[in-house]
Amino acid sequence: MLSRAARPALRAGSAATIRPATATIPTLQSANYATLREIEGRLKSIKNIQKITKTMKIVASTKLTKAQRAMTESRSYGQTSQTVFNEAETKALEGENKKILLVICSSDKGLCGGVHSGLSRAARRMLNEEGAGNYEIVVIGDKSKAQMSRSNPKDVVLSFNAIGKDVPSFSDAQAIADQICLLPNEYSQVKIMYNQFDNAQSYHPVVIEAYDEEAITQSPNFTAFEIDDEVLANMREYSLANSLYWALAEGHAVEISARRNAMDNATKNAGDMIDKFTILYNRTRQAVITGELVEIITGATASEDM
Amino acid sequence: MGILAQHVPSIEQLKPGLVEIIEEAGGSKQFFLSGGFATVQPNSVLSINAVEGYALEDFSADAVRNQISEAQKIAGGSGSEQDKAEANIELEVLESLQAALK
Repeated sequence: MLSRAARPALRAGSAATIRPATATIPTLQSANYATLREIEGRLKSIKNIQKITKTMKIVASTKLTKAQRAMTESRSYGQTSQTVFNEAETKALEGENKKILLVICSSDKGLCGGVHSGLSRAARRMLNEEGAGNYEIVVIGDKSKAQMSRSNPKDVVLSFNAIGKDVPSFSDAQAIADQICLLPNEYSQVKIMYNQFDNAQSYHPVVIEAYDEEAITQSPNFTAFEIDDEVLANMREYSLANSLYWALAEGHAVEISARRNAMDNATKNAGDMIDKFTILYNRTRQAVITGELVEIITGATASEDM
Repeated sequence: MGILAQHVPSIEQLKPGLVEIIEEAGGSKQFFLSGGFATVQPNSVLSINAVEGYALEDFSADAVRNQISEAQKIAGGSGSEQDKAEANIELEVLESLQAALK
C-alpha cells in the first residue's frame, strides 16, 4: 500500500529533484549502463574465444595420438638409415669451399607457442656462430620462412609450404629430398633442423646430419661395408628422404602437442577472465541498482517532508 | 640373396620383390617390398628399410591386374615424359608383384 501510495509522489518528487541537476545525472546514469553493457559485451566475446580455444585444444588432442604414432614410426626409419653412418663414423669433409645446406622443418600454422620462433632462433644462433656465409637455407613452412627471410634473406634458396597440415607422409619427404637434390650447388653436408619431442610439455631444436657421397666414402669405417658404387648415390638420397621424413613427423608431433598446450593455457586464461568479468559485471549491476534505490529513497523522503 | 647370422657388413639396394623372413620358432613370413635398402651392420644386425611393404597375403590378384592395365595405358599414352617414367616404374613394381603372387 505504501509503495502504491508513494509512487505518484515519488514521480513528482524525483522529477522535481532531478530537474535542476539534469546535466550531470543522466550522463552518470548512462555511463553506468554503458559500462554494464560494455562489460557484458566483453564477457560474451571472451566466452566465445574460450569456446574456440577449447575446440582447438580438443582437435589438437585427437590429432596428437596420430601424430605421435607417426613420429615413433618415422623415428625407427630415420634411425635405421642413420646407423650406417654412425657405424661408418662418417664426418663432414672440411676445408672445402662447398657450402652447408640447412633445412629447417617448421610449418605454416601458428597458435602453437614458441615452436617456430624457437626453431628460427636456434637456426640464427647457429648461423651466427659458424658464419652465415657457409650456409644456404631451405625452409619448410611459412612461419619460419617469414622469420628467416627477415634475418637472412639472401641465404634462403628454397622454401616449401602446405606441408604439415596433416601428418607428413613419406612421399612429402621424398618430394622435398628430390627438390633438394636438384639444387644447383653441391653441399658438403645437409643439416636438418627440427624440434625434438622430449615429452608432452617440452621440446628443443636439434640437428640431424646427412652427408654427400665423398664424405661417405671417405669415412674411416666405411670400408667394412660391401657396397656397389652406383648404389651409393641412391642410398644418399634415400637416407636424406628418411631423415627428412623423421624430422617432419617429429616436428609435426611437437607442433601439435605445443598447440594443445597453448590452447589449454588459453582456455584457462579465458576462464580466469570470465570469472573476473562476471564478478565485475555483477558488482556493477548491484551498484547501479543500489544507486537507483538511493535515488528512490531520497526522493521519497524528500517528498514526505514537504 | 640369403642372409644368415655373421654376414659380411654390406649395403644393398633392393629391387621390388619378395622378402621372406624365417623365424626362429620355425615358420616364415613373406612381405612384398616396393624397393629400398638392406644394410648388414658389423654387429650382424640386418635392417631392411623400404618405402612400402605389405604381407604378401594382403594383395589381391585382381586389383594388381587392373592396375597393371592402367599403368600400361599411361605408359603407352601421350602423357609427359615424367608421367611415362612414373608409369613404367609402377609397371615394373606391379609385374614383379604379380610374379610373386603366382
